[in-house]
Amino acid sequence: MTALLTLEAVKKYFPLRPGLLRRANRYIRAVDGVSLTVAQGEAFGLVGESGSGKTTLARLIPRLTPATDGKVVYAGQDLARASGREVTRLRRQMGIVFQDPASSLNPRATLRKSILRPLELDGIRGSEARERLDATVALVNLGAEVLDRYPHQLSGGQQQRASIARAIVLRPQLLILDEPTSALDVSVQAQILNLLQDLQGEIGLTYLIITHNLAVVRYMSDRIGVMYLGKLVELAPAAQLHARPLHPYTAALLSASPPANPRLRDRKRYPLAGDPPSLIAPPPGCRLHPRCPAAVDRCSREEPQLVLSGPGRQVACHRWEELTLTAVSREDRPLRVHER
Amino acid sequence: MGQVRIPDAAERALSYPHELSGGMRQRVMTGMMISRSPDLLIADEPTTALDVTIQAQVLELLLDLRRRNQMSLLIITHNLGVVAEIADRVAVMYAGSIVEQADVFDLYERPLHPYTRLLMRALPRLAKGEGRLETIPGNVPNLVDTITGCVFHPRCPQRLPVCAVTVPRARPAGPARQVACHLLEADPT
Repeated sequence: MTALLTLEAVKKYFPLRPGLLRRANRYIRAVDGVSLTVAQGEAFGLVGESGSGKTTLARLIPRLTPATDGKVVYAGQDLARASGREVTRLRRQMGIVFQDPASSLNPRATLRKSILRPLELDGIRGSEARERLDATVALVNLGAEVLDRYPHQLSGGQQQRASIARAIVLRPQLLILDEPTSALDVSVQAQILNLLQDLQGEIGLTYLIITHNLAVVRYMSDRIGVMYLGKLVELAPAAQLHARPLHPYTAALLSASPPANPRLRDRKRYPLAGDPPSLIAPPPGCRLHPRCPAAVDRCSREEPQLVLSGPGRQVACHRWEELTLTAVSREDRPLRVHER
Repeated sequence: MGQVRIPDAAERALSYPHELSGGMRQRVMTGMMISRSPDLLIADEPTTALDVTIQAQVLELLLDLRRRNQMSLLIITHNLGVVAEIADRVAVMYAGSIVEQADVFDLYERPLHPYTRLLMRALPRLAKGEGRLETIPGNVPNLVDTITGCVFHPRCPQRLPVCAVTVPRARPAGPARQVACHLLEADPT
């Protein structure tokens, strides 16, 4: 396994503007010490709820936002230390697809122009650019007839195909997908997920998929990292995470996520109490402890570190060895939809 | 406010909406609506803007209120997970028409209308490498244009010549079940 991307204790703190009281050193700790490795050719899923820091983390990778601390290493190069030119070169090996294609595509540019733009910036013009455009448009199954239209003239699915085309037109190694289907209907979501799976095989992409949708992440990922309030709390191969979650937050997330099968209404739940706390003054000890059904004294005092819990698995919970969290997915067999 | 589980209700009653979390705002709205003990509570996408752990709390609350207040619930949502979680009966709408109505278990296990069937198979319920998702050809129609015949016929993989001409009537298809599809009229199963 060759690592394409390595994050080492990455932090991102956003300073709060000092208010009337001018209390200094107040920060929103969006990402607070995350380490992980994404292998070449892998599909890595990052899940978490609002405020977990998953989107901030994604923005740190191409240095759209610089990290406050820690290291982002891409293809062996430390992005924080790379020169401006080097960063530009490395960024061309990464593509990003955002949640809302309508706002991430330039509304005043035709799709052709939007998709050609990265090529232009890379100094590729003329017939080579046209060939690359045609090849890419064919890869994402976008009809040539829509290329001269503007984003508002297209459906959500077509817009997202165009965003994907723009992100892969330079043939990056890494594609960062930030909630790629959250704005889409179920049937369009299925088209985009199928497309992304095909593309991965066809052009050998590495995926970092960021989503709050557990069904999507399971369908797309080899490994999954679970984030809560800026921390990675569990990391495991996708099937194992679903079959046997080790962190109470993972179990809560899995059991709260409705499985689209009414027979699973009576599944074992791990409800979390209350709302997520503030990122400005996160709870001491384990950040989940005020909401965790399994919390003990120690959890409010001592912060659990991410430890190896088995081959390829890591968990940050003081009690992972004593807890037996029931799998939701054991009974979550795909529902049989009868053929007529 | 106690019934909708707002902690420190007396103090919170003095807060403005922006001072509350999304889950709490939704609980306050629910509280406002049930304060006059209605017989029916209509909830339009009640959890769409919420995270799943908060969504679970709100759904639990709605079910609990329904039980305690003997109230009917009409939930409107695009989320098939939410429907599976709390509905007894489900009506599926497409382009302004109800195409199928059924008990929740029948709907998920034996969808009869081609639109419902495709929708069920488009849901990602598998793990990576376990298979492809079904998709529905074409796009949702523009409602300005009038569609003759069945609203779903332009996208339906099983359409018959009659589908483009006549609007299918909702017909009973089993207990508490209605389906509007010419296929079922031609070949009742």
